[in-house]
Amino acid sequence: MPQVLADTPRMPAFASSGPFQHAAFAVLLFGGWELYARWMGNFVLLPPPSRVVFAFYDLIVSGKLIPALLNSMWLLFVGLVTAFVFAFVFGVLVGRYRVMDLTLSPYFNALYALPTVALVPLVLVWLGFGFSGRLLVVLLAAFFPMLINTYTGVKVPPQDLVEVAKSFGVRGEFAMLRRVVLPAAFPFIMAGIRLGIGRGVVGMAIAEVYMRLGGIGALIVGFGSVFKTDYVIAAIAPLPLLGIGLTQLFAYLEKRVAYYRT
Amino acid sequence: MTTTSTTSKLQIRDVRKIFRWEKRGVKHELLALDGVTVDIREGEFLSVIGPSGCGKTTLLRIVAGLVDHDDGQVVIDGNPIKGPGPERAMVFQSFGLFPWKTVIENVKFPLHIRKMEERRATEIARSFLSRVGLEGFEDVIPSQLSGGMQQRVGLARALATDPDILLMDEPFGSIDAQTREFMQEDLLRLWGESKKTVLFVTHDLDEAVLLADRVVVLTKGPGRVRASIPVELPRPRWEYDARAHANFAEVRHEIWEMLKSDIIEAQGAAGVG
Repeated sequence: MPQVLADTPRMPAFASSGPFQHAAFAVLLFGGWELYARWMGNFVLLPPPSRVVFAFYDLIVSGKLIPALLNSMWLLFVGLVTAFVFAFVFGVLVGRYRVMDLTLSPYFNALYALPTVALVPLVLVWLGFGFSGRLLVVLLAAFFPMLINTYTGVKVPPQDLVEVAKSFGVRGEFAMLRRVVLPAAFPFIMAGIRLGIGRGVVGMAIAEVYMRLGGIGALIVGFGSVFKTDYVIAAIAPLPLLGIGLTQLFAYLEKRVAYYRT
Repeated sequence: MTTTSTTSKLQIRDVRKIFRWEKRGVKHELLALDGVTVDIREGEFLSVIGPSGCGKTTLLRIVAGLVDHDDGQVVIDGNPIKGPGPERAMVFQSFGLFPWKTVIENVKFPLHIRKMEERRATEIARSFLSRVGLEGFEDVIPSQLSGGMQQRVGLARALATDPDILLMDEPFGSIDAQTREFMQEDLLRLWGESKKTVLFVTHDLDEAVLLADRVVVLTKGPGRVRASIPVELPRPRWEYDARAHANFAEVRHEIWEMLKSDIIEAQGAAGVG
């Protein structure tokens, strides 16, 4: 299996420059965009940020965005939880049992290399436009970072601690898992979840855009087909915000729980 | 050389250990221990010393039940051992503390494995932590402690299981010299209180002599017992400067003469000397 994704411990979700740099760059970026869009004058091709903000406001007030977003977040949540359950079980099995590693790893590697979008047509044929099809897409997107990190974490437990546990009477695979292997793998597993959240948001967006006629995906496709690009951008905007927000939230929780990593 | 008596607590009889591994299809073998026999009396403090690579740590790990041996027997109170047992507790060179557990949870770990009631386990852990001078550090995590303090936790953890035999694998090897002297003194004190049987592996000659009732010297690999030398230094040894005692210098010199050639040879082989 491939190496653990990213430099697992203590990687900030994004750089931690000061709020001043953030603000200054944002003013530059959005100010420039505003000016350029107005100078160009084609608001269908490139709507200025002010129009996008208005569209966003309109989407909220008209009650279109929030229910669609909640709907999509539910899909994301169920997808992430299911992905974690599967990733945890398979990660531990493949990491701890050589036979499982040898038989299953090639398939996991192959599937990991496959972009989730490429599977959409197949999933559509198998499961249709229903919830289960979209769930499968989110699951597939979020599954692999979680799987690989769990696998890496449990694969080579700290040998000295395994010996300590043995010398004090810990016997059997299950007891060793509970007492040493899983606690030692905990930071890896947490980092896997964090990475999985980011990819899950992507999976959710794909599922919502390609596989259904409601929710946030429907908003995006609907406005796109009538060239209301300001509304398209306004509807897309919550997705990266959601990704960053959830990842940051999780990174924070991670730091709180995995205090021993300092 | 070795005394076989009814009071013998731990007997290491003719223990042989061969490490076998395969590299690129070629089978390799290394004879690490070649028939080691040592008898340890109840309540005895025995140091094992030898040049690096003599298999002293392997010997300790065999006694701990962490490594299988190829021949011979390890007998405790007349029963050959099969794997680790609650009558032995080990103190590790690398401390072996769980980094995700607080100090007190580390000490309680073996007690939890033994299904001891929580309140009793806490009580015992607290009492041993205070005995090793770590009162007030119960809820700290190991990485916030110095090496010396971490090993005190390791010692408290081993003692908390109330073992008959304490196995110590170069426990002060990675601790700075000054702290080490305090730790040695504390160990003597704790041993004086509890009178456990101790098997102490070290490569530090002064330490071996200072602590032990008897020093077993191993030959350079494959390990064999070269000599077993009693240390006649009055106890308690923390009440005077034991290193300045005439017997200390004498025993130290005797062992040094044995080790010297092996160490020089080993250094030559490693390209140091």
